[in-house]
Amino acid sequence: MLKETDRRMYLGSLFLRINVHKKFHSGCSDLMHILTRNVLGFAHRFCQSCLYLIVALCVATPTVSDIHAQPSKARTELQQTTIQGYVRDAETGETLLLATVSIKGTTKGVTTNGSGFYSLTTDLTGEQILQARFVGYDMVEKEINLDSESTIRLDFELPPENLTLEEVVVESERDKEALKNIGVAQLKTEQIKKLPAVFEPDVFRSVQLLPGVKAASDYSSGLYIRGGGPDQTLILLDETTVYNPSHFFGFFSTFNPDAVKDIRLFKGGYPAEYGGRLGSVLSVYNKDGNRNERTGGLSIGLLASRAYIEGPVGDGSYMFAVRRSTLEPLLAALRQSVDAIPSTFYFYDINGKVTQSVSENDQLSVAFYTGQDIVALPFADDADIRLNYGNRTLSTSWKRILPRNWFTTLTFTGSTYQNKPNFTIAGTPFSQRNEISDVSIKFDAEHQPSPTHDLKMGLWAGNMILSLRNRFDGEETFRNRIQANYASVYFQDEWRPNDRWVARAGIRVNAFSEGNYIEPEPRLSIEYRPVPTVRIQAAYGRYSQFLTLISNEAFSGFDTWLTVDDGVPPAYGDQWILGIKTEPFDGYGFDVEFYARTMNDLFELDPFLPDAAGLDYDELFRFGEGFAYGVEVFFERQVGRFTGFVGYTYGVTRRKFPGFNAAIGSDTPRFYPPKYDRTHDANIVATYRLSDRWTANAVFSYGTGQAYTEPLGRTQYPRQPWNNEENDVLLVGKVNASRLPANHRLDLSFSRQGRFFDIADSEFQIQLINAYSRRNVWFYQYDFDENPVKQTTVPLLPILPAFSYTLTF
Amino acid sequence: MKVRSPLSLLLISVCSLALWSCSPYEQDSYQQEYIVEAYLIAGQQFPDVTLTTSSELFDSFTLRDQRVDGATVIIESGDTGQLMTYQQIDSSGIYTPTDTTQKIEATATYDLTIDIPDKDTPIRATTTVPEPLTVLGGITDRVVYQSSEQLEILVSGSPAGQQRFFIFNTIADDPKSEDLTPFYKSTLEDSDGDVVIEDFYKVSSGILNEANFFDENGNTVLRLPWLAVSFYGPNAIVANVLDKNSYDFVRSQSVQLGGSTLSPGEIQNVINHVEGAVGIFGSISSDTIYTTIERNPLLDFSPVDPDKAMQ
Repeated sequence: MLKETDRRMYLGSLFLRINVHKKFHSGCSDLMHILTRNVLGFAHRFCQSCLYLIVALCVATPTVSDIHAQPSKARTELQQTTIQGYVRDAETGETLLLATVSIKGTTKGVTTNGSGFYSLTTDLTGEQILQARFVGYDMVEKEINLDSESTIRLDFELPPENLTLEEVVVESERDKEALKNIGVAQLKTEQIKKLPAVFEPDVFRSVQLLPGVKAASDYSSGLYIRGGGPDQTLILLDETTVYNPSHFFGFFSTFNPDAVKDIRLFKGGYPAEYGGRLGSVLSVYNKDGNRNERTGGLSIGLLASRAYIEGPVGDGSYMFAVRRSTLEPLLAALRQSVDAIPSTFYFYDINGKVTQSVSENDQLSVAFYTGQDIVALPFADDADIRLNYGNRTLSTSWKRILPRNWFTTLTFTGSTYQNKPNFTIAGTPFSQRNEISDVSIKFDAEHQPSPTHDLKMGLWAGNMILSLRNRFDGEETFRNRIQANYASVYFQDEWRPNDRWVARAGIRVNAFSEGNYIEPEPRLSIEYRPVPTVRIQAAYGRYSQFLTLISNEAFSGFDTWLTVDDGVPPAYGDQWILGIKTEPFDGYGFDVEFYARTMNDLFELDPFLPDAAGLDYDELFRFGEGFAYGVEVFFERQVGRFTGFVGYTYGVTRRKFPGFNAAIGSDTPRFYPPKYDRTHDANIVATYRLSDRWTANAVFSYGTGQAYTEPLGRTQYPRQPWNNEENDVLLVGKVNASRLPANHRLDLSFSRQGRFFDIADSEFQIQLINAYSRRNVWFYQYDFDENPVKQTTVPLLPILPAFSYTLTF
Repeated sequence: MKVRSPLSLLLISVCSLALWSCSPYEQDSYQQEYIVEAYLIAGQQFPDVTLTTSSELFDSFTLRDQRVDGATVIIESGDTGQLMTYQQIDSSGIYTPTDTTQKIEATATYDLTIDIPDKDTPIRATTTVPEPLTVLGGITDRVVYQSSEQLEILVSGSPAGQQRFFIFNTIADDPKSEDLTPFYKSTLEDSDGDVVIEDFYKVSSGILNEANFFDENGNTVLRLPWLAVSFYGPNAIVANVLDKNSYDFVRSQSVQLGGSTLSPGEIQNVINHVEGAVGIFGSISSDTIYTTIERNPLLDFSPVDPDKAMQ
């Protein structure tokens, strides 16, 4: 079906299709006017943010009289003591997220938040022992006297486990309490680095191994979580939204594992402190840096090389990490014998973070990220493509421990995304410039008024500018700029009336200025523990989304975001989750989660729109609905030489859009599964420590073949007045009612730890991707030049060896 | 007992989910469809009407084998009072008008009716011919390829409040392989034989909205992109305005070939406005100008190898 010319024009036509037009605006030709408007615009937005900040601080910051309140008096009346502080890695000083702090001999325990901070309020008295635990670290106990003060500051520093084989077998004691919250999964950076990965360790590809998370294909790092597309997952890097977290046309995510400390995934039913997406939240935390000594690393791989350095500075730490593709030698070699090799092709990431403890109770941090993809591809004489896209983020946060059990975080965020593809074909240039500029201020407060209640509240307000500008053949064909204010407030109470029950109720209200939409979102979750090793959980939540992403599963290089507006209402949906989480044996976990969700008012670019010039904004979209449901099973072993997990997902996803997937002769649409729908999906991840130096890892993936539309018939329309082609046309039945062959693959990696001339620790890793060379199918093509039609297979990745060498000094 | 209760709940949920998940989404079976194709062009005689049937995908296919004989074909217009009957000259599935003197009138609505002996209900379709399109000025006899002076054509304006949808095509008057422009020459050479030079005799722009061509005075000025020129030498430049049927057909047909936001393999039928069959009964208004595209001596592209190009 795709002729050579079609293939050549594929990228071009895709580019043309996503040239969305809202209204025609005359361009600003006066440079000074542009500069003045931008400066004034930024000042205006900054003032708006400051206004929100003042309101937030007035609401949440205690007054001077509050701070000087009589603690002894309060203690006499309430007989309560609050213990609070940070939990850190003893070697690096990094804060540990979701570490558990509990009072020995009781079931009283809390987990650290996204800042590594905990606050435990108890009505116990006298001498007690406090325990802090975290996966991969030795437990630390500290004695405290609860009669002395009403508020006790107690920081923990946990030493990493000594990973000799015997100790691992005998002494490992894991507690993943916080990870047992409904819909939550967490990945450690070290785990990501060890897993076999195509060319390069990748955060998103590791996340895709978790139950409930699917990959569109071997070529895509996009996250398809519980029936939602990539735009239904909010991607946060240090609390800052990242709009296009991909490199290499979607092959890799933008997150450099060297810079990442932690990844927390809320697959669904996420709490009120998050919002803005219909489905899920992936929160990535940069490393703070080593507070105790200067360290660094260098890694050389086939696709990219990485370097990082971290260390103490002042009363805090810094971290810088760089990653750059190193494809140039390979491309130069290929260029000698293969056509259409890019003349320029590279990407890079730079991450940095500086953290300072201003006082015992105040911590400031600044984090930034910048990444870019640059591609130049001459694909024929007088024809070339140039792509340039990337993200930049900046976040500044002030964490403060306040009296009366308050912990506050004030964050300024800035995020930009630019996408500037240019084509020149036969002397005809066309280009697009899509930019997002998002500045916001966030204020979050946590408060424990009593041992049975944990309150969280906050607001998030910002200003977003989405601009889109298209030029065709030297003329500006479209220019559009949407500036929108958005704001969210939330309040959440976690109530633990006794040791068996935990209830979390919250409300979030989102507002968006374009179209004046206000969306209230109630959230509720309940947990019951019939026995200490069994948790039964249920959750409900409503979620809304003001943005939609124009993308293509096969190629993320042109990703463009659009917003709601008049006539384009926000999408919304409900989620229901029921789960049971158990620890059948010490060090083992067995979890089952059921989920069901609806998706209403889904808005996405009409795929049949050839050109949007002159159309009203709402005419660009099609509006539909959908639903998804399924069950996820997760079994893990975290002790001994042999560790890993098995994840299985049974899932069903359906969508419906007017006029789409109607029977011939009918206008009635039918629900259909999107391509990424997989009924059965299973992953086995295993790690075996062969010796002190050698470790073997294996990942086996199996999934039902993806949905595709099997053509049933064909015909021709050879008389079109505007061309002289035969115009082959397919007749199809239900959209995506057929399935490709089952998809499965085994990836292996072996790593050896060692020393590099007594200068640095070293790790050599060799990998074999798709070890038995399964030729999984991406999709089928139909060649009408053959008679009868010939079906050809477009395969996924073949067997691929890879290696990397990493030095850590 | 305390544990058993939630486990029972779990069991019930599993059973419910299993039942829920049994809703079938089975693929349809192939049904042969009648296929209609006809395009009315304002100012020209009534067009031929092609009537065939579809074929199973992997069957050997020729349009002639799929012809439908013995049908009664009529096109009529209540607006103009025209009634055109059709006859089948040979067994090609092509029906030709019995009167070649009558012309299609712009803005008129035409109805197609086809009766097939072994079909219970007739095939029906309707189209309204777009407003006439007239080139008002800007015709240049000669243009140098990829020079700063592009061909710009001023055409008649659209009805108030309506946007027109254009397809432009460039038709080479005397196409020779040595006259291919560099991009098309390269495409032909690199195609491994699945592209032939005839593919470039008539180059189509795809659908373009009129709003792309409004100048500062609100006039519609069509600027011919160099991409639309496949051959040096004399060319006919045709501007076509599509009716809704043609617009829907072309935009959905092109998506079948990929290039949309749809995932690879997610194929949809073309948008169909024919009752009782599948196909297109559309109409266009068009106007044509003629110009000669001259080589640009400042461009440095190697000469084409005629033998290779003709493979």
